[in-house]
Amino acid sequence: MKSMIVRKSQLAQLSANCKPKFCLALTLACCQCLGAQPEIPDSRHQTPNSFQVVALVDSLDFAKEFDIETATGTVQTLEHVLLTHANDIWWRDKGGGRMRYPSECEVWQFSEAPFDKKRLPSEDIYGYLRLESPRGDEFPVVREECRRRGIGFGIHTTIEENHWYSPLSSNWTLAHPQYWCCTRGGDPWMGACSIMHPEVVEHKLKMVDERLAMKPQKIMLDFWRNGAWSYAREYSAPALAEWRRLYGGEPAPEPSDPRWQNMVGERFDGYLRKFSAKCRAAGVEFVGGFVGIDDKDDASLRTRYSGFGWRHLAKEGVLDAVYVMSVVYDPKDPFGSTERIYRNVMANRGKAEVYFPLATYNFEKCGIGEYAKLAKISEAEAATRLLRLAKDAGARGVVLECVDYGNYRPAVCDAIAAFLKEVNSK
Amino acid sequence: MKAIKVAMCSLAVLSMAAGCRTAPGGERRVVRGFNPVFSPDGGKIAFQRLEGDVFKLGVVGVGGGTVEWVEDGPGNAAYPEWTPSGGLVYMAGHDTETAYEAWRGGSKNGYGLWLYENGAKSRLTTGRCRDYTPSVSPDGGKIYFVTTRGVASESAVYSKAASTRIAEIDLTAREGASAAAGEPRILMDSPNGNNSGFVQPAVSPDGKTLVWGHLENFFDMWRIYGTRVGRWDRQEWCPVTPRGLAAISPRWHPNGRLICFSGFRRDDPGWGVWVEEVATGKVKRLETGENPCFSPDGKSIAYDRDGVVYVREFTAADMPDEILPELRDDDAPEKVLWSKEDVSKETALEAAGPQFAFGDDTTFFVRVKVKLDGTEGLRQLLIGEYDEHEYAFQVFANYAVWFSTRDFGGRYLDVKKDGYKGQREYTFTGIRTSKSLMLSVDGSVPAVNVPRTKVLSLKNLRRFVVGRGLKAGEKVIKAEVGTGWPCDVPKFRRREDLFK
Repeated sequence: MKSMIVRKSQLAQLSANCKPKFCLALTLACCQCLGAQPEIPDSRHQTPNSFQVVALVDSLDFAKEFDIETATGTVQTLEHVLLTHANDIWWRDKGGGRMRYPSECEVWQFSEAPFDKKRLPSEDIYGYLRLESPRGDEFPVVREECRRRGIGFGIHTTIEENHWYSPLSSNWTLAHPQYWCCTRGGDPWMGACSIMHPEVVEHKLKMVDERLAMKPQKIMLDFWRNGAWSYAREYSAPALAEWRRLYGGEPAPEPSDPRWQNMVGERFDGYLRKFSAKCRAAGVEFVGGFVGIDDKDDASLRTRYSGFGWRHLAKEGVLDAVYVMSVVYDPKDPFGSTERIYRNVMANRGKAEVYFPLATYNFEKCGIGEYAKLAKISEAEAATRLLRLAKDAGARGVVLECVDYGNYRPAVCDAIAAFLKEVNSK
Repeated sequence: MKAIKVAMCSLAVLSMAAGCRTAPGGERRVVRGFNPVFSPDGGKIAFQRLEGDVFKLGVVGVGGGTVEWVEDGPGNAAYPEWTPSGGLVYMAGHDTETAYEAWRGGSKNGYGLWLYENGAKSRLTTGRCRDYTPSVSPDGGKIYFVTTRGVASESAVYSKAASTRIAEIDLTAREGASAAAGEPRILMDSPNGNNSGFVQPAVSPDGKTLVWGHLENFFDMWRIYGTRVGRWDRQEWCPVTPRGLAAISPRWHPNGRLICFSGFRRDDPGWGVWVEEVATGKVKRLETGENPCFSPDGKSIAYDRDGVVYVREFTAADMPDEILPELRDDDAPEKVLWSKEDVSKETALEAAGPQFAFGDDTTFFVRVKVKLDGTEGLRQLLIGEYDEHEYAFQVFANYAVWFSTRDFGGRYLDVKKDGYKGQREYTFTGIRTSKSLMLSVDGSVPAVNVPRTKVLSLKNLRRFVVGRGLKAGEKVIKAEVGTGWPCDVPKFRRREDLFK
């Protein structure tokens, strides 16, 4: 441990006062040198059978705490995240459609406002970050740091091409209106491209290649962060042509029509199969993240959440793992109903591994705090119960959604540490 | 020679018969780059180019050839615009700090406007902001541009400030040719929050009209708006291009009757060079490309496509000739469907029928004439209860007056009007169109909220509730619900009014 501290301090000293690009190069050089020495993993070091506590990290959330455009700031972010005792990291590769690495597919030079007039600028600190530029690229640093520490390194990506917010629109989408999504009324929408265009699928798959080039162990595709995409926006020309092919002269139906959803869903599944095949060929696990899981089947999920079914993808083996981002529990019996949903998920997962949530985010009323409030127990106790539910159900781990600066309280972090010590030392 | 002419005519006829549309003037490659702008004498083109990591700015002859670089240093430069005397105004900056360093240190370094004139450069604007897409007035005295000045710097995603504004600087007020232009004056702001904004204003050849690219809402598309110079208030703006056509980056023809712009209509092969006759709204798509600009004589048009600048002739055959269907949801005059008079305590009134089924594309209004004595407490003056939502819409008053409805997911949406004091009679009129909520007090220009999401489609009315929370002595003099645009509320300006 002492030697690791020295390395960190060396890195910090060397990095101090360096300009970002030089700092990044310096860090990588240091990491490479250090990599020649035996790693000294800490107590969270994973083994194949370890119960995993995965931290989702969106570095943007640390932009006012650390200088995340520098290697130093990236390491500081990672170290702060690791206070949660997470033993696996899934690092966000984009915000909306704005990448966090220099992407050739998204022509990174146009990401920064105002170099594409169609993108509105964002005037706060976030709008001035250049994480998509070579100087801001975090991924080499994160990957190397995770490797050195014996911590899993994965990528958290999203299906969205915006984040309900113009400054985070995708360059490629803005440049290709011919592929834009369309409402049933015929209004094109510049928030996303329609999956029904083969060129869109091709573009998305090229971006999968870019992610695989970062050599992650896992890629988690987040279906919750959908940037307002839904079946209601898929009335593009090829979608209408496909509908006519399938159903003749019948007008395109409402988006709630299961036939419409299945038609669009099939096209999406085709993309996911190719995504999965690429991951498999690269030895990378493909994880799908879904919200609002209950005991219903895929079709009802698609309807209610404008999202995607997970059971058939798991059963078919498209997904190596399913990340249940939130569950629809019964507030009168939060833990009991959660347990029933967990067991139901496990019974329908096929061969896929499963991760359950241990969230402080409470968008879906599924955060640790919500459970604690309903059960009238402390957050640490609620966290422990959720960890145990996941472990007992047979999950591979839990996911911390998301780790922001200080949002996992020390008592919760201690509960995580105690639980990991108990289950992973057996 | 005659044979060649005959053959060419035959070819043209055959092409037309086959439905082919060849460019009337053909197109000529000029230089690698984009955002081209003709010089005042028509002999040169200013443009920008992405070279490695940076955007450079240069000038080249209309026939191509050697590029004279105006900005090719380590920073970025973009959006050139000529002054009448042959100078260049453009955006440039070299941000050497990280965002964190700049934020912590209170940096003033951003992207400002520069003037390149007679071989010398001077900085016109400064600050930690982005000033871009300048347009110079015909007399060279003013520059209109888009800016992020004064936009809230916190809570970006949820900020209610528009992302960009339109500002002007007065070049005549400069003290010396190299001096900064003084503090810019904000002319226009959008009330619709940070997913709304402006880009690329273009002042007309007579200096009297300004058009610009406008985004009202994230779920909307870029559209060109216009106003008379000096009439900067929201109610004076009007859409210049039709709904259903994405339109951005306008520039004027020297005749002042046409604009060109980047446009996209469903089923087009990509962004296109479009032309519109502003008085009639007739449009035409000329080419696949973006960022068009007319030459000073109006006989050529420059644009870019895939990072290359092209020039082609602009001929009579390119004149706009198509009127796109303009979907207006507020054209119909008001039609009162329901009314109730003299209510001094909470009264529930059963009502039902298909006439109250307000789909998400229907404009309806709610008008309440009231006598209120104060601003303390909540008075829910008129509530529409539907199967779809218990508070499908309502007009209510406390320290301000509000009109609220729901989005498609049942989430609350509202628009507010300040200045209500109680103690007299008022008429509050709320309007919901397919894309916006508006609220007018006593026939004032309405406040507008363009929400980020689709509005709730209302199908089955249960009842109206009138006068909840009224105090003693207060009353609802008259409550009305109807469709169409209410006659007591002034409409926003229309293109026909702007260009008549």
